[in-house]
Amino acid sequence: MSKVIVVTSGKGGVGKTTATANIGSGLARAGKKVVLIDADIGLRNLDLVMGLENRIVFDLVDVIEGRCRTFKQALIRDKRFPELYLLPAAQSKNKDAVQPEQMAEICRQLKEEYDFIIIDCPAGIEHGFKNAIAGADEAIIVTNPEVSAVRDADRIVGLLESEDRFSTHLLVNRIKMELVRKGKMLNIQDIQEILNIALLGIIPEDERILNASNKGEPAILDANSRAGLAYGKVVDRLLDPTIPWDTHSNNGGLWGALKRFFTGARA
Amino acid sequence: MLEFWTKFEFIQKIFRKEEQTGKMASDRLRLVLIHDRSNFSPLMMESLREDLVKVISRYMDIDSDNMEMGLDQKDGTMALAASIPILKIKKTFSVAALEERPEKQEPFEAPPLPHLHRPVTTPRVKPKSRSKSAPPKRHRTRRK
Repeated sequence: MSKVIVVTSGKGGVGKTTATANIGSGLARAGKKVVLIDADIGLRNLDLVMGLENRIVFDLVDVIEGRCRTFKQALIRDKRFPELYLLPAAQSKNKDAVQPEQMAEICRQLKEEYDFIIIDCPAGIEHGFKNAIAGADEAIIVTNPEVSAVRDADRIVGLLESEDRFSTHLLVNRIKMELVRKGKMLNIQDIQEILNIALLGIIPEDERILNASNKGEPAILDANSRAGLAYGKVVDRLLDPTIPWDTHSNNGGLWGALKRFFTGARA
Repeated sequence: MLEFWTKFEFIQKIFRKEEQTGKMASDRLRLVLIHDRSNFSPLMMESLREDLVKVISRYMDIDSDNMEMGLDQKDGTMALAASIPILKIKKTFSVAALEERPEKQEPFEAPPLPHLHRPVTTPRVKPKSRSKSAPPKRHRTRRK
């Protein structure tokens, strides 16, 4: 039962590409056959975050316009995993080079061979967004604990609901638990209540994400990255939605630190 | 001088109660999303406001410049919240205005009231004896 999941947010810079890279890598690590599609035509970045930028020969538009024999020719294999592939976006072409029906067709073909097709959606709600969602049946809506990001996420939820064929998941990225505890940041409960969609994961703010993108290696592979560990849990929950929520979001200040010190558990 | 200010800021930092802006963010978001999600435009709100002023003015004089009106939410349901300062409750109201209103004619247009901020008296309804002797008093608003 393969799934096509679009990672979207409305607002730019909330972490769609990072989420796509990490969730895709995590699923591949769990033994799934995964294709990542960068749908951000003209502003491709997923290749860079994945560290595959030097291996691009063909891109999404080449596939659509038939410049390569099969779409498989355009898929770049990520050698760190058994079955992870990237279909990069075109960098020089115009956004209008792709139509929603063409995207849907590519997704349909990929679905026959792979378990997960994860689409990195561009920011905004125009043509690029419509392309990215065309072939998807699930959506991960990424947001930050910040008014503008939540408002834009709400707009996306509205647009997806109007199409009435998506199951939606919420991913709250870049949360600073210390600020939440002090009442200086929107908390998870508020965000979830406002957007009213199922929560898939909470990713803490983590400097090591920058480290990861600098190196071109997803943070989920970094055992010292708190965000990477949180992405691990997101992947687990994606594979098994019945996994109960633990208290990983609460790293409990001094008391939590002491507890972690003695039990050896990581936040 | 500079040293004084850095010290002052430092002391201020210690004693200042820091703002809990997370709650503000949540409240502002909830409100703005009510407007985003509904197709109730500011123009419609303005039209509703004008209509409400017309209706309420048949019964009381209101301070329409200082009235506040907007969409609000409580426990997940939408509400129209209005705060309308009353200047004076009318002792008599314009029956004429009511009677002139055509029955079930489309489109309905409310008859314009002659004066929004003055009590309207009609020749048909005689003021009761109480109001005859005493001139209308300004309705006092209760203060806490």
